[in-house]
Amino acid sequence: MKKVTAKVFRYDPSTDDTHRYETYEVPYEKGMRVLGVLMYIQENVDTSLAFRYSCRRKRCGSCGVLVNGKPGLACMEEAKGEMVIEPLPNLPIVRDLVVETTEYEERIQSISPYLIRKNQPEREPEILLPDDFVAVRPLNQCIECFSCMSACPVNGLKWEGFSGPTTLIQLARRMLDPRDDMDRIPDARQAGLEHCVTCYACVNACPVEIGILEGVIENIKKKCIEEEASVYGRYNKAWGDLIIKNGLINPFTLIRKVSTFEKLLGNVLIGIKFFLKGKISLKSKRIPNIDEIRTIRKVIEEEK
Amino acid sequence: MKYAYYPGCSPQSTTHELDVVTRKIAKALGIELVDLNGPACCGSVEMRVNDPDLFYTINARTLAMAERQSLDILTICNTCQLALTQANQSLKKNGELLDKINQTLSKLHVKYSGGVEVKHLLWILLTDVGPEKIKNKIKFPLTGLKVAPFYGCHILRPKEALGFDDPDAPNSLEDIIRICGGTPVDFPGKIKCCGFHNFPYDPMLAITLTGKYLEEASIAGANCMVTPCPLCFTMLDGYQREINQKLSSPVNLPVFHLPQLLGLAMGMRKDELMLKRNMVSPEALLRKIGHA
Amino acid sequence: MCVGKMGGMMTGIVNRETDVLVIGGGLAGMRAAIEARDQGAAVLLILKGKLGKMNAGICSYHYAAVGPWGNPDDMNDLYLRDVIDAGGYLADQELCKIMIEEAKEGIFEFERYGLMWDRKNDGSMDPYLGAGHSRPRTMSTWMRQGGLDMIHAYRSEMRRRKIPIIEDVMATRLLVKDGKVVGVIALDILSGTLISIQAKSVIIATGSHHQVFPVATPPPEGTGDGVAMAYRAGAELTNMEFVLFVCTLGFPSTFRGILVPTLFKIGDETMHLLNNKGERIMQRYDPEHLEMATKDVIARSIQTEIREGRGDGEEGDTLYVDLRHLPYEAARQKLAEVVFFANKAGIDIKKELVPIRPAAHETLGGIRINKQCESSLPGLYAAGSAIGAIYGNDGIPGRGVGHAVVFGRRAGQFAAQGAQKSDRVSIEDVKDQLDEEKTRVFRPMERRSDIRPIAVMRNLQHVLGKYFGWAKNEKDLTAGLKEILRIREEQFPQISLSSRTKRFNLEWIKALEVENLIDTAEIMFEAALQRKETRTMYVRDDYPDQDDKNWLKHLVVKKQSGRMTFEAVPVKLLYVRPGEGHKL
Repeated sequence: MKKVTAKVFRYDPSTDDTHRYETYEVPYEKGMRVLGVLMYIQENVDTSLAFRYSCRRKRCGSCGVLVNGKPGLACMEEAKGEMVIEPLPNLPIVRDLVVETTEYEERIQSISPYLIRKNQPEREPEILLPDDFVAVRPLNQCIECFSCMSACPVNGLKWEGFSGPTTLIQLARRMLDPRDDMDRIPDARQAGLEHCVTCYACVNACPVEIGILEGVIENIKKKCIEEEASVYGRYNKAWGDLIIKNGLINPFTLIRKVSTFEKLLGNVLIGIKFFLKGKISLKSKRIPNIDEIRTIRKVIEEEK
Repeated sequence: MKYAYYPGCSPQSTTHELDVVTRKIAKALGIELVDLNGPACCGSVEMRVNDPDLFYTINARTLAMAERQSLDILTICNTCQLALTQANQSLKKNGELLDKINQTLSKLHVKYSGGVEVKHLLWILLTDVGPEKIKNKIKFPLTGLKVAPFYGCHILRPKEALGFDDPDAPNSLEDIIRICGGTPVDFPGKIKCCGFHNFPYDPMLAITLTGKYLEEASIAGANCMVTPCPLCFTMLDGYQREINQKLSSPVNLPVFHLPQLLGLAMGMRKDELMLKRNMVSPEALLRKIGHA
Repeated sequence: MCVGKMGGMMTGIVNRETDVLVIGGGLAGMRAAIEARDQGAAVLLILKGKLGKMNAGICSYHYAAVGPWGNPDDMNDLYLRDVIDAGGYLADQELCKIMIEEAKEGIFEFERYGLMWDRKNDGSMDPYLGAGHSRPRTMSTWMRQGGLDMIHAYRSEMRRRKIPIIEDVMATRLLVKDGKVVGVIALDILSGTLISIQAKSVIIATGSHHQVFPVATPPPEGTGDGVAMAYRAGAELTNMEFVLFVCTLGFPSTFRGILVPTLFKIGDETMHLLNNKGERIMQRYDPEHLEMATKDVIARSIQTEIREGRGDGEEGDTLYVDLRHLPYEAARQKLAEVVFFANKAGIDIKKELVPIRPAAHETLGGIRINKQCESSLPGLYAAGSAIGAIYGNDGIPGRGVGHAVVFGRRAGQFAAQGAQKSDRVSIEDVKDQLDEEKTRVFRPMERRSDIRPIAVMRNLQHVLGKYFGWAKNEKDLTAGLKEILRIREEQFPQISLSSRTKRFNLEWIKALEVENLIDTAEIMFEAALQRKETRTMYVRDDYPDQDDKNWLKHLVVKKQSGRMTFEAVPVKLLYVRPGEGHKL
């Protein structure tokens, strides 16, 4: 019979000085999931193994673990020949694969994760056009499994002021709901939206395939962009201006336009270093047929 | 093998060496690079959100340039690869969008019909050129180089757009390193993100992220790094002194552009590879492994 | 939402007090807590896991109500008849009527809480015809997600009101004083500490006890904790002999909760039920109706095939569903979930047979309640799947949610009102019970043996799987009951744990759950032995006919003077008499 090997993280903070890994051999059944592996171990090899699970079918979000370094749901991840199974990172460990997620839950609670509307519907049931909900409804699939939080490199740094992708999803669920009429931009700013590095790690990790980057982060950014004073407003404008001017971006010029004076001052030494290596061109390169870009811009403006 | 060459903005300014060396190794490996007449910036990650009309139009213009010559596009930057691919896929899938963009482009007497593929140099090396052909060109196997590969995010994710490597367990850079005779060094951050795009307004975040990977690679035993993206290169190579102020043990990892690593193994000289432009000098390391 | 942590106390008991205590955090529990809070009561909700993540509701799909969205001729009375007919006329008609009348408000409420029911393109509601309904009045949400959106809606409201909750807590015993329920003793899973919660009203919303079976569609925390606690405290239960069975995917083991519907048509075609010889089994049992035969015929057929050895797999109970002849796109739409999980398991429905196994879907037994959701014990209320199904012994879509939504709200309302008129006891008043319970709870921790809770649980489940089947008979039920009693006398007292850690010891929890399963299983066997008839989903091979004369009754069970006593209470045919319902 085919067997698979699972190296499982074990740790009991109440009795152990440090964690250890135990290796188990588990008989493989067709279509087996990592959850099946854990359940086999718990039932037949070591009944003290602790892990969370409930629905077994990506609805409850309880069984989040790292499998070979990748965050996901144990109930959906395929069992592989050799697996290293660990708890989700950056969270206090309760025991073995069970982690304490209060920190993430508190972040979600802080952005008022419920419908807020001053203007009540005229009648019930309300007339709600499906097209108005296209942006929000895929977000309702979020089961708060925290796979995205675990994959996010910025959340991994515990970066101050960044509340992470799950919080942003829960915020976007209300922000993009046409019925919610609270001004949620302060929450978006407080959630540290600008610290997202657009690396798609969250999208890659999401077991229910929510396009977090485009469906959540970019949609919230679009709402924030109206405010030019926000960092996006400046960035956006600077980028657009440079493209129209030269067709290409000179990073030095971009930084100069976007950054604040204090930050520039802090970066003067770096600037000098780069300049001495010939990496900074004070004069920006321009594409030969820049008028084509300007024509494009004009045409787009006219269409609007 | 003939490709429309799309260098992107960084190799035309900060990472000028990448442009030069790419051309050199392309020639040596038989890849003909055809310059396009003034393709504009790809719009990076921001423009698709902030100004989608402009984003799709200027990228369609670039794609149309390649299409006119019946060529696919070769990129040397992760973000260009992603942005152009996203634009391309949307234009191919969405007929209404394509029509709208073509309407604007018609003022320039340009049209795009969706006939172009966009590929990164890394992929082209492993598929079109092929490991065998590259191996035959290796004159100086880089034995002694323990190379930590930093993929960067936009060449791996989202999978639907890119799809060459498994985003969770890629191995194309490792393959190249082995072909060049070096030893790939694994470390957790190799698939993560350098934070370059946030640098203009969030420099500390980018520096902290990058610092973490440099540290991981160093601890894992690497003596240098390689990356297929000039933006990641700028982060990894450009700020090690600043990063070292935050680390418990300082790192000193020379970073190579992908073509520089290949060029070294193919026997090119240091000045040909413009290694003097690297902020962290690889000279001492190369001397150690006996490279002139 | 205030999540309480009990800290690292290793001995002693933590003391909490509240007005309304809700045990269970699913649809019913949350709705009850919200209502009680809105009525001004101090509320505390405790649950065995994490809020929003441990409940059966997330896997449900729809909710039904008569309203301005259905056919103009639809009325509550029609819905009532549908429900009562489907339930074999064993419904509590008064409670059913309430459930149906208040369903509409539930529909509106969900949207106030942020859910969005499916709409047509013009923005009006888009109900569909649920199986067994006579009119389109069933609602779901985008992608038929239904349950997940409903749970999210309630959880949002819990968060809005910041209702105090304590997660990872298992209630183990009801506190009773002078015949009234005055609180609960619970075990904090994180620290292994006992908590005593004194409350003026207690609401049990702990869901069903399907874990007595080897395979069940709802999640595994359904070990009948609330039902067992209520029974042990002396409350009446009802309908304990009734279970809904379905077929689920055969493998892998963790996908055995995925329901494979057997009763459906695509055009004129149905799926084909095959045994391990590839024979279409319904040819043997009902060549006229084949797979569209009534549920009891299908149940008996499946059971016979398995009994006579024509099933595959280790347990010999794997049969097959053939979908290959169906138009693929239509099948994929109708059976979206089955196809999704079959694909994950590596089964291509276009080319291969889909292995299926019988499983329990819902246990319909539970606490008997009145109009105020009060049990027979003052101070104790119940809602959701923990109550004895008021619609009878089989149901139509929207039923489970109805129990939770309508009776959750009512339980909250009446529990809050009851709390206003009650006093709260102090921890000193219940000291004896606390001492007793402490000894009982810590027993597995102190014992040394080789017998582990999971092994005993599996043994029990094996007994139910073998003897409490789709089609029952006296011989099997008697044998099964004997086995359960043997498990209680021989195995259960030997249970010990492989680790003595007090920190998140799930095995310890399992040991406590096993006792609840034993109690409920015993009642189920005894009840089934009593009901000597066949009625819709309840099938007895030795009594194949429906017996309205003797069995148009609710079987009510209660612990009296330490003994299990049954009473068959005639059904009050207040609104609908047999034969007057709408045919399915």
